[in-house]
Amino acid sequence: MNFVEAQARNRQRTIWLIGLLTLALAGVAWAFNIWLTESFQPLFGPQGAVHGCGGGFFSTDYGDAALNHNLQGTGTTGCGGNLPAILTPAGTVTAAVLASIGLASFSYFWGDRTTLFVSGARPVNPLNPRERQFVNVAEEMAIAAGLPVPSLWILPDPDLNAFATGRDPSRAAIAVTEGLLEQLNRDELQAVVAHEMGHIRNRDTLLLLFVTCMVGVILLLTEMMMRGTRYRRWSLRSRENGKGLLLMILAAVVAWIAGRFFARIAAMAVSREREYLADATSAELTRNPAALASALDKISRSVQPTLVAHPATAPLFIADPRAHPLNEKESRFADLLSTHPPVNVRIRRLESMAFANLKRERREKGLDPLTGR
Amino acid sequence: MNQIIIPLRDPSRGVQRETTMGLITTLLLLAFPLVIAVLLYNSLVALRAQVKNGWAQIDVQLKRRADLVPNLVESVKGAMNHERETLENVVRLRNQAVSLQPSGSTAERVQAESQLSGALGKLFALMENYPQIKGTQNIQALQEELTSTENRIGFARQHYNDVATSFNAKIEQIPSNFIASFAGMTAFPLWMIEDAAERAVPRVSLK
Repeated sequence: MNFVEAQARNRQRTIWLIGLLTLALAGVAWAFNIWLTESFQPLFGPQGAVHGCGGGFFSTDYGDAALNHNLQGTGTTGCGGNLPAILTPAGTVTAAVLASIGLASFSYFWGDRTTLFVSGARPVNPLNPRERQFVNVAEEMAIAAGLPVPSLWILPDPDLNAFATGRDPSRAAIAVTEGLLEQLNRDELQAVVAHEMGHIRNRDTLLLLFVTCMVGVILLLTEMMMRGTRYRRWSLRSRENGKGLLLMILAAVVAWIAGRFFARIAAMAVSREREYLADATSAELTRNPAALASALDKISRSVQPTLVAHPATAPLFIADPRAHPLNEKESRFADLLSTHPPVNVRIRRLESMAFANLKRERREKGLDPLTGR
Repeated sequence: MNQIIIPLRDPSRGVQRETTMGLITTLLLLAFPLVIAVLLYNSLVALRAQVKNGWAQIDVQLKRRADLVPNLVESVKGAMNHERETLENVVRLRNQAVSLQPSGSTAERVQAESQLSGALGKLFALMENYPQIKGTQNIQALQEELTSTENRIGFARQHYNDVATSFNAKIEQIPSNFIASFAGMTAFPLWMIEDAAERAVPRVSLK
């Protein structure tokens, strides 16, 4: 598999995962709506209000009388007339989406500065020879990607790690640790910077931001449902409410388990796909996948955690900052909840790209692609 | 004034409306390809601008190299007395490349610049034998700048070749080929290195 095929495959998988995440968010918002209508039931009209009012705001979708009468309110102002907009399914989903957008726009405008500040990054000093090389390598990669040179930062940490941030290529930033500059040779540093340039070109900060906000809203809604249900259980005791209460608890529990499960898994899977994609982009820019493979090998050998990383900024780094032992295992389950793909799988993919390059070169020279003779 | 007051059920009114609808449909059908053509033309122009910018980037980096070479030669001349031939060769090729920079044809320039790359690669390899030079901070810095410039030239060429290839493919593909031939757009030459030996410019690592 060469880098072009690898990139196409990763992009397609991202689309599927974002679709799954959107479904999870919609499902949770829907459950939240059921829960909300049930919990506000006593406030909206007496039991047994006018039934069978067609054409209401999604009201017929439920096909459940217990829910239907809530949506129709007291019946004095007509069908669904006095129901607050937020209680309609469309309203709840819209509110959830708006909350995502609100959270996202803060990070959109302030996220890059926040990330750099939280990590204690300092601007690069071109007078220091090692840092000068970092500047040169970044300019080389900007030329290869046809993008502006990002602002460059140094993380005061002896561990080997790097990250990229910024909402678009003209405002991007790349930060590397002091340890990385110390330990990698020029080609390896170039490959790591190319990986970060790949994140910038593929707009991964924006995508990750979007995913994080969707997951955040799912966590928020499920948390509200769980806490609210615990409180409601003691205040609603009438017989008529029995069914509604059951529905409330069911909605809260199902959303908590399924929503959180799928959201986490999808978000982590997106993060991992983007790592593979950035690896493939690095190979495209440097045409030297073996250099990234050897850089990743060195990075993974450093067992100390990256102390400047914060749980919230962890997915941005080139290697899992926790230096988690799970990262090294190849078990499927460990993979599911990890922000980064296992390093040995990444190295294997890069080496197979390097071999694809070698085969192409041999073919161009008229040699046998497999043996080189 | 009888003609102006149209009765509600006048059959001619329906006919009129049909004619108007027909006219609008025809106009839309005519406008649609025009819109597509404009969009295609604009995307081709944008791509062509990228190719030209890619070419300009190569030029910037070649000039940067030409400026750095005399500095390097000046700094190592004293210690590398035995390599006079190599040094003179580098200077000669550098001057040849500079003289071609404003006016030379693409083929001539590609040749001259690749020869300079080869000579510089040889000089870097020889410098490995002179630890007293390699230890000098000034020369280390110069060598890093030259290595970076060599890389930049390579990456600028790679980027130029990539965008030029996609432009060249576009102007031959249907339907943009019609627009391209109408606008008189022609393919860009790729910056290829002819000699396989020159392709293998030794990469000097400071580590």
